[in-house]
Amino acid sequence: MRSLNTRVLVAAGIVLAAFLSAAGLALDQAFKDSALTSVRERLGSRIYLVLGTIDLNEPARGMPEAALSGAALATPESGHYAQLLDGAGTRVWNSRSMLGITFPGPPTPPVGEFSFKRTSSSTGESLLVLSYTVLWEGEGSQSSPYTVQVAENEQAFMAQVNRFRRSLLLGFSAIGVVLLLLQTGIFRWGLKPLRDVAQEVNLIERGERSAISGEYPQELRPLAENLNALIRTNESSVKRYRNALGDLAHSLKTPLAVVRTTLADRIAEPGPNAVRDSLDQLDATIAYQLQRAAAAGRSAIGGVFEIAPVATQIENSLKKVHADRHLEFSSTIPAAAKFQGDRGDFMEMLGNIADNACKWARSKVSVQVSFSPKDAQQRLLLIEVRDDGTGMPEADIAKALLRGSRLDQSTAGHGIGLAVVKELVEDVYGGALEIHSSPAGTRVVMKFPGY
Amino acid sequence: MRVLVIEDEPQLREQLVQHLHREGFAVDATGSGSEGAYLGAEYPIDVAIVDLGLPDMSGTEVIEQWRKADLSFPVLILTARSRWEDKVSGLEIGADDYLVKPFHTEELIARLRALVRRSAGWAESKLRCGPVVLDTAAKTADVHNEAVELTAFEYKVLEHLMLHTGRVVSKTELSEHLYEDETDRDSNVLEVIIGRLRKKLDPDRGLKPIDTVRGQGYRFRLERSAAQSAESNA
Repeated sequence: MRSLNTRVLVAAGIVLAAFLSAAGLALDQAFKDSALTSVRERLGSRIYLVLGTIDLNEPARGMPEAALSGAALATPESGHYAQLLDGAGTRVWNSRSMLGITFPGPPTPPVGEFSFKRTSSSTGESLLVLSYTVLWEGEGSQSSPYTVQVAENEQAFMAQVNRFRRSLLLGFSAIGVVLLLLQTGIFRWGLKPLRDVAQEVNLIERGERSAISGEYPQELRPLAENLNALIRTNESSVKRYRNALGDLAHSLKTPLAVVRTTLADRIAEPGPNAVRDSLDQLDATIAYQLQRAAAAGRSAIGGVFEIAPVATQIENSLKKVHADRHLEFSSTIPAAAKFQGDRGDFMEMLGNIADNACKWARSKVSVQVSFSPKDAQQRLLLIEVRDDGTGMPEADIAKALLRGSRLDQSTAGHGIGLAVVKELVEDVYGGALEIHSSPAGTRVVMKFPGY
Repeated sequence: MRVLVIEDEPQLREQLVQHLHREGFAVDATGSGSEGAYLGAEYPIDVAIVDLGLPDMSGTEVIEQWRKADLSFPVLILTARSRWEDKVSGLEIGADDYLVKPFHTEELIARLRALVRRSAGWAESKLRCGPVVLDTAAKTADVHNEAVELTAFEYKVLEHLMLHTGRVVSKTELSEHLYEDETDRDSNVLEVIIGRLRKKLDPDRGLKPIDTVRGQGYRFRLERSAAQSAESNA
């Protein structure tokens, strides 16, 4: 019962079944009544026929052969019977068809009234019997009651009823099926906007759309509008939050820059220096915490983008910043490769890693994006950055990954980079960061699950 | 070299100005974005340092305005924003380098020099023109592999001429790039300096590195050594 479709179809099915059964029962009853009435009328006219042809002065002579219309009453076991009973209930005449058959006379109705009953004959036939009592004023003044009973085998009647029931059932089943199909069609058509919304939300989730754009019926419009509003708020709140962090960075770091420049001469002396060390620590802590706080992560709505253009942006930036190094950049990125998450986070990860590679490299830096394994449903996205520098000792790698540690004081930039990247890759995106270093160069691999 | 500093924090700006002076730069400084945009457009500056978070007009707008007006001097962004998103967008609108606060002054100055050198089309930090080699990092000059002693001012004049070797540099241009105020400018001083440079670089009068173009100015005559001159980054 999870789907609206099933719910409505089940409900409609039940209502339809109840309605059709009730209608069927009523129709069946009505048909049976009318069929019974026609049987009774037939029997009634036969009673008049009997009464009209029998001479009650000599009832035992019975009906003249000529009057036996249709010969049904003259043919044995024809299913049509007639008998005449006297006041005491004794049979004084019976039709020829009743040869060897008797059926119990029902209680004699009062004079001038009909009585219609069902009974069984001595041979087990089920009969419908109509009785009528007349008061015969014979010769003299004595009058005696006679009862005429005509009977008819019920089979023909039942067959007629059954035939009717069969066609009724057939007809109603057909109507039921057609109505249910119609209902399904109407319902699917009616709910199509809902399915469309779901589809659009899906696209937004995968980042292929940025808002719900379809035309929707009145009832769904508020939903679509609210979803769009939610997406916008989500985007703008990340933006606002980052701006606030940027402002915070500005107001923390500018005074720090003043302090550093003011104390420049004292700090420049080599060897241990409490002021310089504290300043470095302060720098690193602020930078690390702010970058960490700016992570947006993977959100349910929005946030899928193509990797190649972003990687190109970063490459162009690095070419400018490291112009003096005359580095050779190369990249292998499938055109369709997409990253699920925040663009700013991605830039932070690739930017820091590639920036480090530029600092360490002798002449070459390369970026490679691939999926592994290639065919499985749940793949890993691999982003690999290589340089041809002299490599980092294991101890330095471990240190670089520590929070806020500054790997190489002499290398320009922020040593907090790797630590922030590690946190983004592993804690925010649930991936893994690997650093393989050898004297021939360093290879940094970021692995992201769920592609 | 003439540098423009746009930084709204007065103390930091003052310190920057002092450091840059000490390093031999001519400095124009302001705390306002719109004034900075104007100074960059009107003054013959070699390089600009721009803070992004300015009160009246954002640093990005200032840079965009310059680039739209086809002003191509190099720009270094100095900001507290260390996210790559900010770096990329800053560099995309036309800045040439990006330095995050707090910074080491030496690093800032090294980068400024590199920017100016690269914008003049020199890929290496050593400028080589025939036998004359100017080391912009160490601030020394060699001729035929022999060190030449130069005063700070002589060095600045030679650096400007060599950066733009082959091009006529007017006296006005030289003084504009070396002095901040017009009152300091005295063409006689320049003539004296040029005379001294000629003597120091070319005692035998066989090289004749600096031409005087009558009525126009001076030209460093020696061509760049081909192997060393890399592509201009324009």
